[in-house]
Amino acid sequence: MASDWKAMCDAADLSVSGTEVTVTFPDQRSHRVTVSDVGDEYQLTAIVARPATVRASGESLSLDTWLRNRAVNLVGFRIDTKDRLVSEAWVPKAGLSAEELRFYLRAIAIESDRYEYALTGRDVE
Amino acid sequence: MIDVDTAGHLLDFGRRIGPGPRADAQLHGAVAVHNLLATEGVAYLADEVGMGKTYVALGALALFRHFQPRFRVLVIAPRENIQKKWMKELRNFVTHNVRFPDLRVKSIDHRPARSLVACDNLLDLVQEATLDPNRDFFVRLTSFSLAMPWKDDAERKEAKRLRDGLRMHLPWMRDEVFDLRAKHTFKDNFAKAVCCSLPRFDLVIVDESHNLKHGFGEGVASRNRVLGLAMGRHDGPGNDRLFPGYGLRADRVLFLSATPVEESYRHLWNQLDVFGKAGPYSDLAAEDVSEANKKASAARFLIRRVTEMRVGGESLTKNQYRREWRRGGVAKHDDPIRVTDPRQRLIVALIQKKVGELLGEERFKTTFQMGMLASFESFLETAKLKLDDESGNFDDGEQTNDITEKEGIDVADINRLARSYRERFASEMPHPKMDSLVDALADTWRTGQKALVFVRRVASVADLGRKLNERYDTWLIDRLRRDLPTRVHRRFEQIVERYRGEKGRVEARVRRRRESGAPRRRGRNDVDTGGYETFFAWFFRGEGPRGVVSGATLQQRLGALSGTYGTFFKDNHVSELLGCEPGSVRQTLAATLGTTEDAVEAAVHRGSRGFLTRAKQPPRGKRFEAVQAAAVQLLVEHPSCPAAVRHNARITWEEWYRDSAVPAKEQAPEAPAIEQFLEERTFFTALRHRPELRSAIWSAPASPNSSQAFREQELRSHALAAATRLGHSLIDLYVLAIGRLESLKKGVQEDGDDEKSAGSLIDDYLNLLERQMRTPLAEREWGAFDELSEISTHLDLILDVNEPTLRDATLREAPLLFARLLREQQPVGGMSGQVNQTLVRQFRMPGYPFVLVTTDVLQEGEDLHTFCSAVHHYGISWTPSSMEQRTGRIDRVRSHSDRRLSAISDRQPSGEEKLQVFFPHLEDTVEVLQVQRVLERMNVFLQLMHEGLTIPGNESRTINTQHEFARQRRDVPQLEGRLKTAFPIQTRHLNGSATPLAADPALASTLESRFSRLAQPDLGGLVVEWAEGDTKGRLTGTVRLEPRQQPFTLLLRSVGSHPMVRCVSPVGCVTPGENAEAVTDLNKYVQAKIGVIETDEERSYDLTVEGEVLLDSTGEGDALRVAALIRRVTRQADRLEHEHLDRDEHLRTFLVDLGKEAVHGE
Repeated sequence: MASDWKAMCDAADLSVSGTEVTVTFPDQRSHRVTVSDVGDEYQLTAIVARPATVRASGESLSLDTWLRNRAVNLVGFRIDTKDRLVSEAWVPKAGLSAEELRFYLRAIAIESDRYEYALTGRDVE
Repeated sequence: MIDVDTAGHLLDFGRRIGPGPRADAQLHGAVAVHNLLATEGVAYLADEVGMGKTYVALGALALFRHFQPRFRVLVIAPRENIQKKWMKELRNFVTHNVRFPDLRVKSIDHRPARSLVACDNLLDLVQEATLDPNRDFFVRLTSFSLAMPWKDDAERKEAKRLRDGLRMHLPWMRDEVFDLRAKHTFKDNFAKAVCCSLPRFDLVIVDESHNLKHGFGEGVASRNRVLGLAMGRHDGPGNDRLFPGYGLRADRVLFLSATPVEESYRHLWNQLDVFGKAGPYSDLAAEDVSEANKKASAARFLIRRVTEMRVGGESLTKNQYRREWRRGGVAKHDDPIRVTDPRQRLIVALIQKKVGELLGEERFKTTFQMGMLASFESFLETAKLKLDDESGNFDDGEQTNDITEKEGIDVADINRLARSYRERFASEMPHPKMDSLVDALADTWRTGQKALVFVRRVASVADLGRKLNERYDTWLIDRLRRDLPTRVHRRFEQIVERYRGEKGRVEARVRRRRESGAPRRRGRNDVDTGGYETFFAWFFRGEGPRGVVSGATLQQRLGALSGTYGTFFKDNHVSELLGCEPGSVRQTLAATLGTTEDAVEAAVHRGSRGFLTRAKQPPRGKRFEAVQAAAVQLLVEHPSCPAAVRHNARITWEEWYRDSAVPAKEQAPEAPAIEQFLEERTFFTALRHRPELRSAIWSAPASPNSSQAFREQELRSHALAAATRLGHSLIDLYVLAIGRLESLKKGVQEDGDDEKSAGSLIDDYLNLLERQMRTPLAEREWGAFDELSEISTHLDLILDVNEPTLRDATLREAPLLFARLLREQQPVGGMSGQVNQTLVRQFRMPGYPFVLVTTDVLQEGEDLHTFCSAVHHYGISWTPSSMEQRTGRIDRVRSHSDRRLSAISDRQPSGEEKLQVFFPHLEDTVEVLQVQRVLERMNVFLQLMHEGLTIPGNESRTINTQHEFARQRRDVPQLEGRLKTAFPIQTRHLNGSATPLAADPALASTLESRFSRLAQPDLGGLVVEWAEGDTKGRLTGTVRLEPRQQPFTLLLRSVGSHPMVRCVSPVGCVTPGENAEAVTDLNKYVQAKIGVIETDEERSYDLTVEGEVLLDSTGEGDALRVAALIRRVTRQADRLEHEHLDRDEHLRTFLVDLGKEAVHGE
């Protein structure tokens, strides 16, 4: 089992701080991802949009999110109990390599950042 | 940069066109384009028309994506039909030309690894690219036109719709971006906002990119500007505040066109400039740079190869294997059209006088827009344009903005003369050019030689069509008079009278409706209702005339399961499997199984029940099928059946009969006495006994694989059956049927409903086919044998160009798909405005339509080459590129000319054998000036592209008659020498390094077996019931979550370079659009990745829970990883189903729709 996920995050575009990893993209945008250890898996979470944006987007946001979930790989979006739009990914620990973990981290960060840009035109998270 | 060997390990261009120089040329092209794009960022592939530029481009794309799995692509096609064609070709290319599933380009199921997205407009592109940019996008150049009326606020609906649509996807855009006060500013801002929503594309492919030859500057189509801005072309300062992130969206651009310039290298610079890529090639646009230096500059990114055909041991270039009829005639080469009738000569003179007077008016200054004089094409009345009509009476309406010129400056005078002539002589004014062409084409249904006719005047499509249809009617009615038995002649004449009467009334009604401006009525899309355009449409299609045994009656009876002909085109599979004649099947079956005939009969009788429903009297065809199915099943299951027979029977069973089994509760309680169907003789069983005919029209399958061979044989037989029933061949069969019946009375036909009459017709038909086979075509008319043998011989080609999916479809779908392909046939087809795909696909087959009359709507993209070797430029276009594009429709790899000429091994082709290019015109009219100008420009274009000589030209769209007359008449000869490209592939283009492929060819099979091993009853502690019948890369099952259950499907996929498993578990029908709030609330607590399916189709579910997991490099963690995924996804889905729907559905509820999840790359 791969338990020390921080050691696996050694890459120029990833910086670890506590349970958070900041992924920086070539265009200098970046996105923060939280890593939680949940038994046999790591759960990766990122915030896409704050409640104010979610409320401003109206009901169509849920539908848009679920359509997006059909298209996007490894990452899922939903509105959480705090009315934030969040993204989640689950990473199995069985046989996990550093390259795979980094792949998941970049995937969730890229997809979250893209969605954030589409909704707000900004780079906050 | 990569080398040819590396590319050859991944790509096999010879798979469809065969190995050899053409396949090598495509491979080299793909490598050169790849390397040019890698080093220059732009490449221009300008291979001659028909050499497979699309495939070369797809090859370059595949090479990039294989090494960079995240490689993002946008394809810009000129219009919708070509957009669809690109998607079709990409699927074909990946399936056939990529050697192995590398999970980057080609997935496990041999489809594209990435999904394909067709965007109908720019808002679609924005929506889809925002949703998931990691797919391949296909857009249309026309979508960038943003046509919008702008006169007043009420008219700005389109602008408002675009604004609101974009706001939905980019809610943060500032209001000032969408200011509706100025049209051009709005368009610019809209385009820039689109740019902000798009990702960066690693490659943008622009097909038929010569459409952008006028570039981005002032005074050119706003379409080019919108495209440039949407692609982030620099447009001065000030974009950062309003358009954050605005900038170039195309890292590389690949331009494709056989005609990249008209008369100046500047056209190349203009095209690059639209995408902001022209900077390094400024020489191309500079006035003080020599032509040689411009050529050198173009050669940095442009490649052009010339078409070569190996004929009689020599390589001929297109100018050598095409015969151009430059003097204007259509009957004898190098002869003009002779107008001998004094009345016609007078009319031509009168019209020319009128045209001359018109051109002499001050406002026209003795000039006219090329090809925009109505009198060149027809003297029939042309409708008056409305003031806001943007389309005009001619194709290429953009040529002028003047409403009079769009309408044709001579229209009013021609209309007046035509009316006067009609009133005086009670007939339409003759048009010598049109009449000569109609004379020449009225032979096509006798010779079977197809012709493609391009017109410029939209109304000419109908005019030519009507005249040709009249000639066809004369031929068909005479033919039936000649061949039908004398006893039915009187009745037949009454029928012809009736047709003419009804046709006249319908045409008058249509004319009245058109004149009153009422909308055109449309028939039902899915049913052939016949028609009045020809006697064939009225008598042989649809319902046919009442109370008569018409061609339509026979057509229906051949297609129905009931009645005499219910088994006419079936195959007696049991007789084929046992290798015996109908008549001895029961006996041979008993001997084969080592049992008695009575026992066999009883078993078949019993078994046939399983294939019949409770219907009172199953139709004849059904009963036949049931007996065949029962006997084939008996062969499969009987322990005494010899292995070889069982093997073939199993294939027949699985491919054809298994799916026809009826569920037990719906089965007939008892089977009727139907054993005689074991001995049924059909067209195909009889054909097996005529080996020479069989090899000509139903050749034995070529595949060594028994299953493939069976499919091939069945596809061929369904194609033949559909062709006989629905096209020209039906006429032959009808004549034979009436010959036997000796009556056209319907009752007589019904009385004769027995097997014997069908059997005799089979013999008559086969005899006729043999007679036709043995009589040279020169001594008879083109008939059923010719149609069937051409379909049979070229079935692969026909499927490739028309229905490639048919190869993968279940055989049961084949009859329907062929029937759809061949429905509503017409001897003469016409097209303008939009592409009629049915007509296009039929033109790519032998038989109807023999003549296709079209405007420029078919000028680009659609291949029409497979059975046509003659193109008529009836309406001459004003640019050499358009002329070349039009001829290029029939001059392509695997064309009719290619096949015919390549077969000549020991001599040079005669003029008649070459590909024929006609330029019909009258020498005594001002049209000759236009033809001369265009022919000169075509020669200049050839010299420019092939010898590097630039002849500074006058690109004027208008002709000044005074200047031209002053130059006197001159012949413009066809260039004769061998063409040599000025832009060959250079060694440096192929000098890449040998690179090991990024994926092992064995990877897919390794992954596939790893994936199939997941189907264990106890997967990582989960109790799973796996379903049967899954295809490659798909597993379906149900997880036991006691006391509940939850179905799911697993799909083997890839993301980047990683193999991945996707799990989809259906929740049910929730109508998420209406219940979004409730589902959103649930989703807050259930941490599920919810998916919705938005569709109008009736489905078993529209809400899912899904998830994906990467597979590791060794496979050791597969079971644990996938089990965790299934556990999470199914538990979440089950909870949603329970809490929202309070149900617990079984897998069978969702099975069919879950199967659709496996289809991707669509």
